Amino acid sequence: MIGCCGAGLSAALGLSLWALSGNIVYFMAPSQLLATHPSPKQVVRLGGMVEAGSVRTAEGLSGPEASFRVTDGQADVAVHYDGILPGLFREGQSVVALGSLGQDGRFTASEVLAKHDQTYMPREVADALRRSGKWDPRFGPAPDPASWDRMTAASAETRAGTGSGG
Amino acid sequence: MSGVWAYVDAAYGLCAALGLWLGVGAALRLRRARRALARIEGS
Amino acid sequence: MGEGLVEGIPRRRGSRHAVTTDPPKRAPSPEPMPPELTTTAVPATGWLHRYAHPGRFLRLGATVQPWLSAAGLILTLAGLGWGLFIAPADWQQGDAVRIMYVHVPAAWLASAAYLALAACGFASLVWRHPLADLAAVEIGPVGAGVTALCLASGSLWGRPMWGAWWVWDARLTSVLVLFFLFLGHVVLVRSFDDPARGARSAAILALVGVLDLPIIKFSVQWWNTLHQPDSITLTAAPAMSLSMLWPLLVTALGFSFGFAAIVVARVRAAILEQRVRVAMQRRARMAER
Repeated sequence: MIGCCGAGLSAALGLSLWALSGNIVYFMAPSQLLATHPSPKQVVRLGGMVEAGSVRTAEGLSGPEASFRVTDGQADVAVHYDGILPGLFREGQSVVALGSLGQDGRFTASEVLAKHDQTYMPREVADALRRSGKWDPRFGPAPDPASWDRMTAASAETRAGTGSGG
Repeated sequence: MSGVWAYVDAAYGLCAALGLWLGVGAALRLRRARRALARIEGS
Repeated sequence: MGEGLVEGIPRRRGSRHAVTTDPPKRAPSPEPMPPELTTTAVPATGWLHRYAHPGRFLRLGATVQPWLSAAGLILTLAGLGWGLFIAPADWQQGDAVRIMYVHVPAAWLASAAYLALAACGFASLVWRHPLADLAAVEIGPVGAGVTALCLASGSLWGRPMWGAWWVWDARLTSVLVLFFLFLGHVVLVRSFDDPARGARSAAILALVGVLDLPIIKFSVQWWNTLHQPDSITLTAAPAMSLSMLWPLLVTALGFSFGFAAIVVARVRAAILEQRVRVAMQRRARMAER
């Protein structure tokens, strides 16, 4: 019994120590990656925003291929990925790619995860904001919530309707 | 994105299962304890 | 094991568990105890102790239980139904966002439950309060269940949205540590022959583990994580449409009431079970004579 709880405690402690040591920074931004410049053998995680207009997808011999640029506003890194992109992947979305930085400065990813932001809104509201020109999701986060959090799907529809009519 | 409903249903199912398990379990335990006490004090 | 344990038994039994395990010559009485029989050995240090006394708790619990249960059930069903059927789909996550109405309230409640566990540990260590020990024993498994729900629903959310069931980022790891803290408490508090020693060790564990709560809260700000930052904070307007915020808050309120109802029921049951044990022991002693 005591051994059991000792094991549980040390598991918890070990996990936290391990988390605090190596993995606490889950990913590196492009500028950090270029500054540290890990060796091509080292597997690292790259995180940042998918640059608008940079996504190229193709059907390769072994399945879908994608290349895109990941930016943090200061630097950007070209990423190549053979595989199926997650459903949330889009331009302007934050992603985390697991892979290595080659000699040529290109990042080859073996896994791409989408990191969605903390903004929650109905589709119609997002469309209304886009149509009104207040927000383009490809270029950055949503505007101040106070300007849209009271909009419902229905009110966004009517607002968009009157907007285009007038 | 229609495939997400399976995940949504699983999450709500887990929530319902946990709620029922904890809630009904607590209610049954309370009833059992009350009866046991009544039996021992009544005899 | 061995000497320390044996030494611990008589010393603690007398002082600490006098009220709950050892009502010496109490006449058998129906559940609402007459006050003069229940006030023995209660340290008279204020209102908290007055209400935290097991006999009073039984009566108070019997009064509030139906209200807590009803509020928990109605608000939870309303909030989850609202989230599942009425609230809009998210602009980027679609219907997967509905997992939020389970995941986020479970996450809030998991932290709050741990805070309650730590408060019980504090009351146990500082005031040696028997009811705090009982409550800690009963909060532990419920808190572990809620944390498990948070982790499982998060996993079910991460798979379709992020593309992974699990990642070892700071937020997910620190919540997993919270789950292990609950489990550790559940095991530790039951692993001593002398319940007072178990209560004491578990109380220390609960208090040390409080360190994990700020780590969970601020992990998404302090470090790069895959988990997104909190949408709802105390300092800024929620980055969420009100049509999604309302069902979330209703569910969170429902979860909290439901948690309280379950814990109150379990503590009442634990008090009654203890009385049954005492009555059985007394009967056994009388039979010997």
